[in-house]
Amino acid sequence: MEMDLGWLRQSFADDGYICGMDVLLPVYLSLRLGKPLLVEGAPGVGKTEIAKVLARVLDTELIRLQCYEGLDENKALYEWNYQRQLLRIQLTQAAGTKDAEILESDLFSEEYLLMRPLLRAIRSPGRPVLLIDEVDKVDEAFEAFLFELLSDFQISIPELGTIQAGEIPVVVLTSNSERDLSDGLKRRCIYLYIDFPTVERELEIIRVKAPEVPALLAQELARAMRFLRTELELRKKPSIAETLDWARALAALERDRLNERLCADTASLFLKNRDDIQALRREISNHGLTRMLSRGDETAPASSRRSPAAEPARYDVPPVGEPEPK
Amino acid sequence: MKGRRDQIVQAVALAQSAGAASGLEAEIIRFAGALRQLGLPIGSGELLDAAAALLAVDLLDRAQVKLALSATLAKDERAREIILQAFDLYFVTPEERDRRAAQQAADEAQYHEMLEQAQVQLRFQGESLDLSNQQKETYALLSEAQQRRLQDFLAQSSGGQGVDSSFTPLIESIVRGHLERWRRQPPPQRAGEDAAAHGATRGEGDDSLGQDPMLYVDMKEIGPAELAKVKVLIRRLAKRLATRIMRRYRISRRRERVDFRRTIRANLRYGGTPVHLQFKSRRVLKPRIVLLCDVSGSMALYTAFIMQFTHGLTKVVRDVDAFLFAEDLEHVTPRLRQEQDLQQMMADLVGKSAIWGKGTNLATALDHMMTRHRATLTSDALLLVVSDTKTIGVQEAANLLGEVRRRVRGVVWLNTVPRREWPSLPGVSAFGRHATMYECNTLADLERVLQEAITV
Repeated sequence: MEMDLGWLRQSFADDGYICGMDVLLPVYLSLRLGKPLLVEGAPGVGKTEIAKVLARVLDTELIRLQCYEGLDENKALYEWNYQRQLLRIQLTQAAGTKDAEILESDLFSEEYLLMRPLLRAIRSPGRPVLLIDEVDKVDEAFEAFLFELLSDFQISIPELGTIQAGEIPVVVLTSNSERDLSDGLKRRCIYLYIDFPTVERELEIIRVKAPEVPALLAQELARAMRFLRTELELRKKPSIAETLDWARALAALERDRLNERLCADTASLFLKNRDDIQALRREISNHGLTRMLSRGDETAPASSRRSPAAEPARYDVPPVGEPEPK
Repeated sequence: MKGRRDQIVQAVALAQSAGAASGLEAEIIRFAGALRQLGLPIGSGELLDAAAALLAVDLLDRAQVKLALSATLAKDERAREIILQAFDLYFVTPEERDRRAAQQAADEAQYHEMLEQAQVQLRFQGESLDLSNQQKETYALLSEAQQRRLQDFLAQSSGGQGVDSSFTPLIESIVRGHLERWRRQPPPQRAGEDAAAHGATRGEGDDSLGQDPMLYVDMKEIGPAELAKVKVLIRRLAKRLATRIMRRYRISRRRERVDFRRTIRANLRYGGTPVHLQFKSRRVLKPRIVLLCDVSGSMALYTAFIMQFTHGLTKVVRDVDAFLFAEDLEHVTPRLRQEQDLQQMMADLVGKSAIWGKGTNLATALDHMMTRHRATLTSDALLLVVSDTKTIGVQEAANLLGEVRRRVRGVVWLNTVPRREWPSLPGVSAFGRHATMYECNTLADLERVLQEAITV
């Protein structure tokens, strides 16, 4: 299928994934150049969703490899079904056959092969989307193995020979940047960083994903979110997933405007930490909702700016010649 | 940090003037040259990707070209930020380029004028002070009120009774000290100058954390107004460090060995055929930390930060036992356990040190530790000494430290004095024999040192 940027944009929009050119273009390039896409960003901004949308848009299978500490090749690539092989041996023995050679080639045939996500992606007939989720959680050895696989898309199984991918899968890797990935892996990828959305875009997302939310409320929510992410010192900034949770919850409560009481009572929907909730309560008791709902700078991406008001007050510099405070 | 935009401007200007070849490839290569100058690792593989990407996008659409380059050349968030900024500066119309060159020349002239002016204004008894260009620049960027304050100070001290030119070095060092101080804590009015560019460089460190300027500020200069921020930062640093160290431990667990006894027992139902292997792994021994902190005078602030930080490591450290010392030793672990507010804790520590502030005697402290708290010095304990090594009875203290060293797993010394001043301190070489000594006066240092110390 020949695709171009316009088609991709339209398909993403049709699928309800609202994003700007800054997200679309790297995705497009990774499809065009046949390179893996490495997606980074805060939790909940829609990294995993990209792979899911891609699978739907390209109308192919989504194969997911969820990474965790201690993930090894057996779990990711393939494994022999040992129990079944053992049973087979015992059955053969019981039947009294003695032909050892036949037995061995039988035992290591595909029948006894347990395919794990990576092998499945390689052997899949179409061009599947392979999602390698939270790749920063695996250890370095596995990462090295992974980027070897991603560069030539073939693996050797000693008993079966080399298996080559028919069509190179679309690979999406996501990372929460818990640690730095190795240069080798990064080098093979197209890099995409998903930022928190602007107020306008967040508004659009709410409109598409939670159409039941009244327009005025949606606007207030988007502004409040921008404020929470940029102005408050939070341990965990709420992201789009939390916005949607909050919006749906308020819609379920049949509210159409935000007020102080409501905001404080529903804080646990988007702040998942006692300190953060207290910070919000303090803000509400000091300033009400005025600062939260102020228009702010709506066009700026939320995480890349901080207004001077949020700067901590500086020392008042003591006059020269006086002793400095110890 | 604050100079990053300037660095980008410089690198771009340098690259633009390099070579006369024209055409798209040449431009990309020159642009990559500018990025390499800024420290981004860009290999020929990335360049090929970038070229391929440009073929896939609409070359007449500036936004697309920009995104294509950043997607292929950047490999992390910081690099992406730099590339986006550099792109705007690099790819401009020829007129704009000329205008900018002229602007740069003008800026340079203005800069020199600024330095001249500082030279003229900062005089002591009619003589100009011996200041570095950087210090003069700091002065020129101060608000008028602050500049006047400095001038007044100079004027007043010039006319003081019995003051002659022999005071010049003293005055110079005072002025220098203040300018250095302001340089490291840029006053807010400087941030307003170039709001857009500044905003972009400043806020970006939020999540990546490694960029926070607060990490690189000497801990004793962190003011009370910034405590809340530092508190969040310390907690995040400790969390990051903890998860990083946890990983290390897990990885070492990969050296698993088959546990025969449990394997046979677990596979009895298969007639002894080992279907499910059982493994045994080494028990992970979390270290204990024994903190021994100097609280004489200016050390108190460091101590408060370090105690908080260490306490935040409870995930990877079995427990923290904390002691303060000046003239004598005090056991403060119970106070740590109360999860005291950082601010309160600093107030307490500073208050205490005011009572004790007679002098530092490490020897007495170590002696008491050996006699009264012997139980805490176990073979799995890591002794962290936080001190500037300025103590009385250096030799005696060093001998005692050697004795303590034999009882514990290791002794790590966090020295808050900058490394370049170490040769002038007699304590450094004496204690260095029994302890690994690190320079540690910013939060970034602290994180690095603790990581090394705990994972060893």
